[in-house]
Amino acid sequence: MENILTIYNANFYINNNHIINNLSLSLAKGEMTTIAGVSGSGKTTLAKLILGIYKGENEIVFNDEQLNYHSLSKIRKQIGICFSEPIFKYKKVDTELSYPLFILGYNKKKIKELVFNMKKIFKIEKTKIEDLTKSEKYKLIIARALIFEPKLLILDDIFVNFDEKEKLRIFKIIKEIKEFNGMSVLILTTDLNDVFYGNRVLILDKGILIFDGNISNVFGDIDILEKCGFELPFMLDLSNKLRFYDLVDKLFLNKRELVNHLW
Amino acid sequence: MVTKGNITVVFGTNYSGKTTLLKKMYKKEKNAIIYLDQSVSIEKMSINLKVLNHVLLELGLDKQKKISSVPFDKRRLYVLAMTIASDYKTIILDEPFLRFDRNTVRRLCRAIRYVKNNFGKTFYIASLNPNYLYQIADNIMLLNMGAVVFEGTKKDFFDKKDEFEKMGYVVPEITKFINLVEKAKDIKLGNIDNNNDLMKAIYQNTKY
Repeated sequence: MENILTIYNANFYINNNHIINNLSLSLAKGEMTTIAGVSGSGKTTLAKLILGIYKGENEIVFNDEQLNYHSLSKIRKQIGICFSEPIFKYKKVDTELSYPLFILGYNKKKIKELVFNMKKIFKIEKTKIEDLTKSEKYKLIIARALIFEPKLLILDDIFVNFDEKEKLRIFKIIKEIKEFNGMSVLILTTDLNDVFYGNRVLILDKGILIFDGNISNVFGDIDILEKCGFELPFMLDLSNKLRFYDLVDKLFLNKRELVNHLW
Repeated sequence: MVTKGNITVVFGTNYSGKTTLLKKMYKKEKNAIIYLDQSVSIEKMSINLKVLNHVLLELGLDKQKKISSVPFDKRRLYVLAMTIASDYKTIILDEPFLRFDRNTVRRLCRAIRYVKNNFGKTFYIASLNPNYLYQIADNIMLLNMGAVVFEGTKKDFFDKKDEFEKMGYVVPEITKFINLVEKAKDIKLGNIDNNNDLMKAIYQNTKY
């Protein structure tokens, strides 16, 4: 499969701290990938390297084009990013949403249509940004990142702000858009519960990629996940503890299956 | 209804009005501090040094450090530590554990409980994720669509867990699990709030 993004041997230091340590990875087109790591593991730094905000000792190839001074602005126009703190340039929802389209030179009629659609998809009805609740602000930044149909969408730890239902709804929207236009999605998260949504999971610990595989293998070595500092999902933690006492012989993710196994 | 010197935990989904409720409480209480959006609203807070020393020790933070030399990521932990150790009777925290790792959350929970037990402070803590906070709660408040649908002790909450789950309110995973065991297998595991005790209860109930 063709790759949308390839990173070769990335190294990055801040004040002699090795934030990203010899990291290589490639993302396939149309794939949904999750990178999990506790805070301080280098997730946001990685996103900033991809966007060229930070310059590290590395080689990054985005869509067959090497990231450098000349290609920077062209590459950035193809990446939609949501950082974990919502920052807005304007005071109104409509202007905020049309901003990326305006920069990319869409005509007025098209902008109006796309903004209207996005607001409908994300159910944003208010007009002023200051009136939005916290979760609506996060929905707005996702909408703003999606509106210009980026080739790659990077979501930096934003799902902590949504409850279960809302989270599922947003994942559904992103998946539908992904299926429609073949966009790749990179989810950065601190919560292991979020890895179930993607196809592929990477675990980042202190700037080192320690796991790369699919969802069924990621919970193979619970001890490593605990050492990384992750809060284990409830069912994993419980069945891991029960396994220690020989009450179960494997890990259960489903409550009913575990209950039926025990009694 | 909420007694002084207790930890009250506020659960609710998005749009349930948690933050609005906390802000209202902050306005009503005269001697209170609020931690909102990972920062504190006031510039100068009076801090109880005795409490601060203990909280910093519990969190493994260096008290000699200048705040400006602390990495940005860790700064909010210092801010939170100072809020917990501040000299106000009521301490209101909105999503205090967001994005902290497992050990830090554990240590924060211990620090909050220590401050409550030894200095009789009243805590109001709101979160989307009920799992960590359920353990340290004395009282629980459930919000839904801007209304308080339940307010009471942890035991009262536990007694009504089935009803709350049916209504689709935010309930911790552990009460969902116990609820399932009670309903499907007619086994009483008791009012348990953490996985270690749950494991022991399961062990005792499956021995034969």
